[in-house]
Amino acid sequence: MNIAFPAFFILVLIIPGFIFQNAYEKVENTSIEKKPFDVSSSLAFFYALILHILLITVVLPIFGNEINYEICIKLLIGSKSISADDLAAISNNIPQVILYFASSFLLAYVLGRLFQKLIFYFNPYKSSKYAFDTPWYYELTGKLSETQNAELIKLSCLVESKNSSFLYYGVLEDFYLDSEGELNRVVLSGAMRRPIESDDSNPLEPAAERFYEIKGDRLILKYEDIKNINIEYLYIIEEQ
Amino acid sequence: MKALLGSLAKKIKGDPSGNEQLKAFISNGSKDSEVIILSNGKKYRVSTSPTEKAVA
Repeated sequence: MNIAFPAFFILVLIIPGFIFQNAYEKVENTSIEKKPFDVSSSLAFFYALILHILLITVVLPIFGNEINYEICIKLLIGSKSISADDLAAISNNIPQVILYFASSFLLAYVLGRLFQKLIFYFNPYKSSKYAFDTPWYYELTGKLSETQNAELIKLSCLVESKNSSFLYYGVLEDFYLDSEGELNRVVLSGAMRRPIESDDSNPLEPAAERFYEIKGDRLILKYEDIKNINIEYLYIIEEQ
Repeated sequence: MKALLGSLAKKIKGDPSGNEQLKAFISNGSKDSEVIILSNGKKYRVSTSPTEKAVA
């Protein structure tokens, strides 16, 4: 038997763990839980083990199927003593084998999404005990225990250029995180800006006159250019 | 990723008049709250403080 086959077999067995982890930790295609590779791999192995135990003990008996562990072990260790009967047993059950792995991938994805929803439901805020380890996500989606009724976020960003510093105001529309879970850039709508020096030049001048509107629908600011960010949560109620 | 945007905020931002008033409120750092009137006559109070909700 080719030495690569046991490695391939192990990989296919572990893949559901990675699918589960990916579905559990991703929101809008961005990972909100950062772990070192070794921790992530170990967890994927653990999740895969749980998923296979679930499939073997609960799902397979419902359909009247069972696993031939003897053949599985022979495949895993790359045994050269696989008999013609074993090979015949495998080839006669190819559709079941494919169905098993396909269902393990599907189940991993569905359970991953389900567990993520459960974690968000029971741990909705940044301060929750089992919250994900991505503070920016909770800050910018308003998932803080003290801002649970907020409707939108006003962002004020101080951006320094060569000769001057500018203050940008706007409604936060979107934000992007990098692979480390750090803020990468923010997208503002209805953005305005003014030089920070205007703060002192004429304090009696109305604020709206010190700003000038930036023509465009969305302003993107890179986090590396921002010196500091002020987040202001706005609340809205309907007046009678 | 989508930032916080509640249902009332969506209504205001979706209304041209409401959106302009919201922009004016946002650029004015000195005001704590403002009543925004949409094109259909509906009024919404935008506030920087959650206590406004309890008062209302």
